[in-house]
Amino acid sequence: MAWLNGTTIAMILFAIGTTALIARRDLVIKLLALGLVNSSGILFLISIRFRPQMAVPILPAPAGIPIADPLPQALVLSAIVINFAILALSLVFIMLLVERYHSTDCGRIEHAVEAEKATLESQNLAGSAPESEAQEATQ
Amino acid sequence: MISRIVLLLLLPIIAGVSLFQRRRLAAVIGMGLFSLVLAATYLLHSAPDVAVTEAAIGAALVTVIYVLAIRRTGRLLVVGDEVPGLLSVEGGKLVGVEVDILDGFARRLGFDLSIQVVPLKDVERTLLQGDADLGAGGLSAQPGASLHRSRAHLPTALVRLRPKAGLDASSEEAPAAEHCEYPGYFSDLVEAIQRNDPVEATLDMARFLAVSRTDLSRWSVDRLDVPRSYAFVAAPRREDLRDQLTAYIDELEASGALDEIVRRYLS
Amino acid sequence: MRRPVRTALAAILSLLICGIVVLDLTVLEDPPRPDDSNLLAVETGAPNLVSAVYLEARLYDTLFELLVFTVAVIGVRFYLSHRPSTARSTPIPESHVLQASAQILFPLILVLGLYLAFFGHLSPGGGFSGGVVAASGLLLCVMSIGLDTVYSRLSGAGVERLEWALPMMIVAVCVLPLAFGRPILSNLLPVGQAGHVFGSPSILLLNALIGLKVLIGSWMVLHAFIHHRGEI
Repeated sequence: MAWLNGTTIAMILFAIGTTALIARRDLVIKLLALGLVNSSGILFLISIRFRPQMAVPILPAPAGIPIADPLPQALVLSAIVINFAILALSLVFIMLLVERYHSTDCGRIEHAVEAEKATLESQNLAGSAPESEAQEATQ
Repeated sequence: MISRIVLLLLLPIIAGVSLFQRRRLAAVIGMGLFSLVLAATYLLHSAPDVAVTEAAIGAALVTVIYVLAIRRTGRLLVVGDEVPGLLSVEGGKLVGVEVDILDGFARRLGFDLSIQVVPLKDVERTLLQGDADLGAGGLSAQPGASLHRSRAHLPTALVRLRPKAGLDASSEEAPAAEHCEYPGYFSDLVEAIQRNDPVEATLDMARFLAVSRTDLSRWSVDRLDVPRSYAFVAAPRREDLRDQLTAYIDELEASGALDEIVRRYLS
Repeated sequence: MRRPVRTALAAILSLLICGIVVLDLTVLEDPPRPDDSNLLAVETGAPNLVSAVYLEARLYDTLFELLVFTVAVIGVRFYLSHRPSTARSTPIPESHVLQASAQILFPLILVLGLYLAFFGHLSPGGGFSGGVVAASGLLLCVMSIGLDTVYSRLSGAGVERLEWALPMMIVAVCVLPLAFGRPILSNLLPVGQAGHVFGSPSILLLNALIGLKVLIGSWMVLHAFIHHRGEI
């Protein structure tokens, strides 16, 4: 089963992640799916140059066995940690949204935002009409 | 070798199952499990640094901040008896006019809603003991002192039910109770009426509508001429809750949502 | 369009993209590469090649990743500081099992975090892992004895100053070789024998600083969340 390695599984995880990102309406689950897409990218990078029975990239290595490539591991190491910090920031934004609109459903939030925009525009229109009338009165 | 393949096969299964859950908490915990299995996979792919970091972050810190972010702070505890149309259990879920109002109210406050079914006579006692925050379930009577009644959301009337068998010539008119009362749970009362047990009760309109579907030829039905209305009752020292609930129901009425809710359940 | 159609379309699209990448990968072969890992270890004095890569060969990238981390932590603290705290003020009383085990486990977890950070150039670990493990130990502490107790020990002007002083120190370590006529981002301290604890002192120093920075940053994030949302 040569196809069953980390790269293909990472792609399947990527597909699952993007599907859940589009299909689910809850913001928290969308964020979880985004995290899954992140993890799938990391798994992909690590398993590209991996062949079975490779040694850990720490010297001294056992003789004759090739060593796993340290470069992608170094790249993703700090990526995992800053993913956590950015995830915390997105969760803060989600919490602020929930406090404002009382729902994590993206459809409901969209409707609420459009309703707010509509009331703001109608207020703007109503605000500008009396101004022009006052101008005509003074002239 | 085998363990690596097994873990790799396990990953999409866990991810797929946990991302398409109905509850958010289940999804979060499922993804925590996914992080753990992913850390083991990294280890088997000869990446120990990445494995330690992923295990510490994914399983511990990320799960904790997700759980903190999705929790609703505080709980609203509501007690009441079942009333078909206002607050009834259908298919394992609570539905009804009052359930909708309370659900929106709890969401507005950011609280978790928890509704318990208790007999009608126990509602006031539970509130006075401090075991609940709100009383619901078709309360039409004026509550005792120190309980706070919110504004009415539906008008109603009272109907008195007496078994005809007990109405002999010698029966004098026992004074009709001016409020809705019956023993025990409402569902028990419905069963008793269906079995033709001689029970006496004074019911409000919603309950009477539910009972009137059975054959009532053995009961005398008198309509009492006292105007009543349904409202919620808040526990002692919770006037703030009563005021917020009244304001919320005012909003619902102004926007027409109240009529829509009533029409959906009671038309 | 309707939701099942949308879901199916998203799944097919993602799989299609992945299929293209798979094709690309399986057709091309990577050229044979000379194995210079020994050279890397001897040059930097760090047997852990991953640490050698991201703290020596790719130090520039690590600096910017620290910058991203710092900015994200600042953002979390800023946005959560202006909201009124909706948490209940009464802490949940914890069971004695948790308190007793936390008393035993917390020093062990701290030691593990320190070991991962300080010996990251010899064995698996590194600054990032050490900082995160120590932060999870702090989380255990918070769960067992309450947020206010832990915060009273770990707050104050000293910690705040440390939080912004650490990135400065890391940048200073990287820029300092300029003052001595060496190229920037290179080693200032002498490289010893590979495999020795002090064989690569600059990597050790950077690991320690990064570990401390990640610990304080994660603690700030956790504190902001728990303070705002209530105890666990």
